[in-house]
Parts: sequence; structure tokens; C-alpha cells
Amino acid sequence: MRPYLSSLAFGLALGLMPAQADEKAETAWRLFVADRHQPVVHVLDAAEGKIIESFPLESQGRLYATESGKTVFAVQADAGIAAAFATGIGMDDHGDHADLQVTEPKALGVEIAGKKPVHFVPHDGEIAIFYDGEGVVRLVREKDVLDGKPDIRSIATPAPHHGVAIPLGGHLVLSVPNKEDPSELPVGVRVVDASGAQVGEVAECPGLHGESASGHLVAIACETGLLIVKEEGGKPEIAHLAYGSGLPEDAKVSTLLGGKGLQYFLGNFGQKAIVLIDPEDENAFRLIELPFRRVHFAVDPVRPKFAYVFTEDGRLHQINVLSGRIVKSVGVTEPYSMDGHWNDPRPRIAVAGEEIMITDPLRGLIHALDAETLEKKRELITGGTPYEMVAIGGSGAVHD
Amino acid sequence: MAFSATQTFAMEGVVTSIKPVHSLVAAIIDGTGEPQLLVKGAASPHTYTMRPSEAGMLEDAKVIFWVGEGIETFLEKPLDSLAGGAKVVTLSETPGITLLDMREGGAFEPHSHGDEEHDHEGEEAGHDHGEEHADHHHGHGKDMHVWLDPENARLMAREITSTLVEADPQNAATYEKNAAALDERLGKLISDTEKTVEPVRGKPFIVFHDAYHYFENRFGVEAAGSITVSPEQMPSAQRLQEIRDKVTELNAACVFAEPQFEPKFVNIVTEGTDARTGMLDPEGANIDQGPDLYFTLVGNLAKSLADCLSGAE
Ligand SMILES: [Zn+2]
Ligand SMILES: [Zn+2]
Repeated sequence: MRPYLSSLAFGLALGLMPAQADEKAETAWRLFVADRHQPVVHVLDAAEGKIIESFPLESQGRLYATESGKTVFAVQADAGIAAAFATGIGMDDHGDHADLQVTEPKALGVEIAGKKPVHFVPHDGEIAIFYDGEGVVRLVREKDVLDGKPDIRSIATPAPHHGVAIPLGGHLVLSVPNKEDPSELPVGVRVVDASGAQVGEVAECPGLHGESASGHLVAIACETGLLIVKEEGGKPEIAHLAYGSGLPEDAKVSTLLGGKGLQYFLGNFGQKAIVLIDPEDENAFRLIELPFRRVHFAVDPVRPKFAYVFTEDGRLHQINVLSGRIVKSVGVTEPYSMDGHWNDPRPRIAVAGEEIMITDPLRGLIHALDAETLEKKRELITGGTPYEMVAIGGSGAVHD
Repeated sequence: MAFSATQTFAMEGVVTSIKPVHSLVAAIIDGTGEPQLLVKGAASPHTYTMRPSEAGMLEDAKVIFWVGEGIETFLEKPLDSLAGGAKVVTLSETPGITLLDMREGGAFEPHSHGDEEHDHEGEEAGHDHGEEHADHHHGHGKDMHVWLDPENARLMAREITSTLVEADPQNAATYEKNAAALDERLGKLISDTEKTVEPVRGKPFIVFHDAYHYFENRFGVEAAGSITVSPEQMPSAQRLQEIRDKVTELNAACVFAEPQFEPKFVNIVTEGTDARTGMLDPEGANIDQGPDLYFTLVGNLAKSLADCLSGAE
């Protein structure tokens, strides 16, 4: 029904064969890495293991890739800017093969300004950035950003708040701030159409924080459970999925990841667990307990069966999302305690083809692990304090 | 799984992709087991994403039946990575099956499942993507909606039977017996369908999804053209005008949508033309899964065509 394929095609494109004999199959992966202390984003060629370009920022950047992988945004809350970069890697999926185009990464000169941008949601070729300081969402189409001619649409909510907006096939799902105290987390979502007019009722979602898309679903995390959004008959339909009785009561999901290639969600749940969610299953929530507090987690877009969690003892755990179990664990870094500030530099995971990349901020490098064996293969030196990271790439046919 | 009177052993680990395939397999396996189905309910196989439990089914499968590349796009890669232990039967490759080329050009718009438009916006043209793309989504230029010809279904049923006999020889007699009954029923379906569509042969109609070439080819009806419309988004005013012009130009008596389209939506598209509207359900989205589904599916196609077209001038 909805064109989710395009979003999945990216990671899954790996391993596709060229369509004709005169085409070569090539692989290219790039890492975008933001420093914790310096306002800069480095671009590394994964194969060479070297920085090929560095772009200055105005403040610390959080990095987000779009579904196509053609664009990366550095969202700089303190400077009030979301800056766009072309990754220089384009994958066009043609079903039985994909085309790969590799060019230089570049700053697109697109800087979307506003007070305190935080949540960034790319969906259906559209990008929604929420500016907490104004309670305003700014929307652009990725195509226009790549052309360097963004046509920015703004939609205001009633008050500044830590909000989020999700583009969904011509509609927008928008957080509803807490009326009594907008500095608290949002209390629900409403759907607006292209003209900004509300469609249907407000769906309650107390303590809203965290959203993601997977398959034909979008999930939004609340204190009480998840809101599951799907498109029925041309408009978003929202249903509430309460946390199961088997889950600890003092916890909730506040970070959500969506499976790529398989339809599922992965959420945090307390400090020492994650929860695997299949909204269409009778027992939708499966708790996966961790040996130590969680630092970061990620899904594998190349091998849909796996996800990863990094814990504060410096170990990476491979999760089989079919069985809901940790199947492998390896030591990667020195311990990175979760004591201290949430924004202290700690490792981040990104999957780059046949390697799992993990930043080691205190050592100024990135560990590359073999995705099959989880053995350490090499180190990529960035210097400074590498922190936020996204990986872009795939393999496909190169047409001469 | 209950034991039948003849003390057969249950056949487990048979996985099917879409409802029409499930229906044929269910009819043949009846009495020894029940096949599992991946794309349930009204979901479309063209844009489906498997759930972890379904990926688990593939991992545990003994036999997997699917139509092939171009229909169950979601299965293409998992079949390599997850279904290592299973025998995979690609039913579009059944020996002797009628395979038709994709219809393209003229009044037939490129086959789309809603993703093409979206994918290709902003694409830098390094080479021509138009036709090539449609081909790649549909098995190298072949129309993959093969099950919509019941004669193909008969051959597919034979392929399914021999696969099951080989995988589970203990129950061979049951499979053979079921297969014979199914074949007879398919024969009757073909003659019944002939009778139903006979009065409306030659009346031009238009479809939203060019999936019916096999049905048309078997029963001597013919779509005059297709219109590419996304079920989620109302076409622009300009596009609506193009569609109405086309309906008028082809002198279409009926325009057929599919279950994912709201009736209101279909009416807007044909507003201001003389065409009537109808609904066709090529994948059985609105039909309960099971051995009877295939017969209901084909019967409904015939009835919808006859009802809509016979009411027209
Ligand atoms: Zn937040
Ligand atoms: Zn189709």
C-alpha cells in the first residue's frame, strides 16, 4: 500500500547483482561522525578508514540520515540550525538490482533556522524538524533540499514544547502539548491535513517521547503504551497499544527504533532492558534484560534478523529479533559508565555493510567489528571526541 | 494437528506467500496439515514487510511456495538469508504455465503499486528508468499475476502436489486424492466463469491495477487500458482531468478499482463520465483464507465484470 519499500531498499540493497554484464557491482559506505566538543562533522570513507571531508558546524550536532540515504542533517539545538549535507551516495532500487552513484559529500547550503530544533523525522520523502523553543514544525521535501531550494512549510502548535511531527502520506501527525505546563512532555497527537486542518480527534499519549516507522506502521511511545499509526483509506488511523502485564511497571519507552526489512520496533525500557515490539502479535511486548545499563542500541538494516545493544561495561550485544534473545556479546571498549550527564560522550553504534562501527569517544576512534563474527577488525582514527554517528551506503551496479 | 482416520502424520512447516497460493496448497494438504500464510488479511504483497514471527516461520520451513519475483517483493532477499533449510517452489516457473508479457504503452500506464512515483522523484537520470523499472518490478518483462488464469492454477496445483509428495511420501495418497478433486473443481470453475462473462465480452473497461491480463486472456474479455492511481492520495485536479479524458476517449463502460480504494474515491475519478464503477480483488484481500478462497476470488472477478458491464449500454 504505502511506499515503504523505498525506505527499506536502502539497507537491503546490499548483495544485489548488476543487471547487465557491462555493469560493475560496487560497494560504498560513508560514516558521518559529529564531535562532542568541537562543532564539526567528519565524513569518513569506511573502506579507506580515513576522514575525506570535515564540515564546520555552529554547535554540537545530532546527526540524522534520510530514508534515501542521500542526505544527512546536523541538528544543532544550541545554535538553532538544522544544516543539510549531501552524502554523495545514491542508491536507486530497481527491484532485482540497484544503481549506486558515488560523488563528493557536500554541504548543501540549506540551513533551516529556528529556536531549539531537536526531533527530526524523515518519512515518505518529507522531513519534519520540530523546534521546541517555538513549538513549530518546519517541513521540507528531501528532493528540494538536495536541489538546494528548500520550500519550507511551518505549522505552529499552541505552545513551545518538546514536540515531534511525523509526515504521513500527505498528512502530518503532530504532538499536542500539555496545556497546564507545556514544559512537560506532550500529552497526545493530532492529525492535520495538507492545509493544516485537523482530521479526527486528539489521540491521548501522556508523556509522549520517541517515535519510529517500520513496515507499514508508525509507532509513538507514551507512558501508557504505544500509539500505532497506519494509513487506512487514505488517512492515518491511530490505535493505542497498552504495555503488557509482564512488563515492569516503573518503566516506559522513550526511545523507539523501527526494524528495517522486518516490521518490528525496539524500545528502551528502564536502564537495564530493552523491549522488542511486534504490534500485530497477541503478546506485542517482549522484554530483553541486559547485564548492565544500556548506552546505545541500533537495528541492523543489512541483516534484518539482528539488532545491537551497547552496555556500560563496554560490551556489544547482538540480539536475534526472531527469538528475542542476546545471541552474542563481545568486549569492545573500556567501560563507559551511565553515571553522569546523558549527553556525556559515550559510544554509538552504526551498521556499515559487513561491519558494525562503534565510536570510542575517549580514545578518538571508531572500532570496526565483523558483522558475522563480531570480531574486531580495525580502528578508524578520527581524533577529538567522536560521538554521534550515521552510516550511509550499500552496493549496487555502477553504470559507465 | 489431529490424526485422521487413516492415521496419517501431520505435515508441518509448509509456508505460503499470498492468499491464492495458500488456497491451492490448503486444498491439497487438507487432512494432513494446514499451510502457514505470510500476507494475511487485506495487506498487499507488493509492499509487505514481514514480522519477526513470520521470518521465524521461514527459518523453520520445510517447503515454501511463492509466485516469484515481482509479486512478493518482500520475500526476495529473506528467501536467501532466512530460508536456508527449505525447498523453495517458485510457482511462476511451473512447467507449461502460460506466461504473458507485461502490457505497456498505448492505453496502459506503467504498472505501479504506489511506490514508483515516489521513488523516482528527484532521481537524476543517468539512463532511462521508465520502462526498465516496470520490468524489474515484474520479473523481467513478464506479468506475474499468473494465478488469475485457472488453467495456470491447475498446473500450479500439480507442481504443489508433486512437491508435497516428495517432501512427505507417507501422505502421498491423500495429496493425490485431494489434487484430483481440486483439478475437477478447477475445471468446473473455468466453464462456470466462461458462462458468466459470455454476455459482456467486447465491452471496454478500465482497471486501476493492470493485474487481470491472465483472466482476460483465458476468458476472452479485454481491458481497454489502465490508470495508475495511488490508493492513498487523491490525484491532482489536472490528473483527474486526464483520467476523465481517458475514460471518455476509450469509451470505457466500467472503471474497476480494488479493495484498498474507498468507493468515494473511485466515484470522484469517474465523475462527469458515463462510466460505471466496480471493484476487483485480484489477491483475495477481502476473502477469508482457506481452500475455497481461490474459487471465491475467480468467481467474484467474473461476477463483478458481468454485473458492472451488463448494466452499461
Ligand atoms: Zn527528545
Ligand atoms: Zn501487481
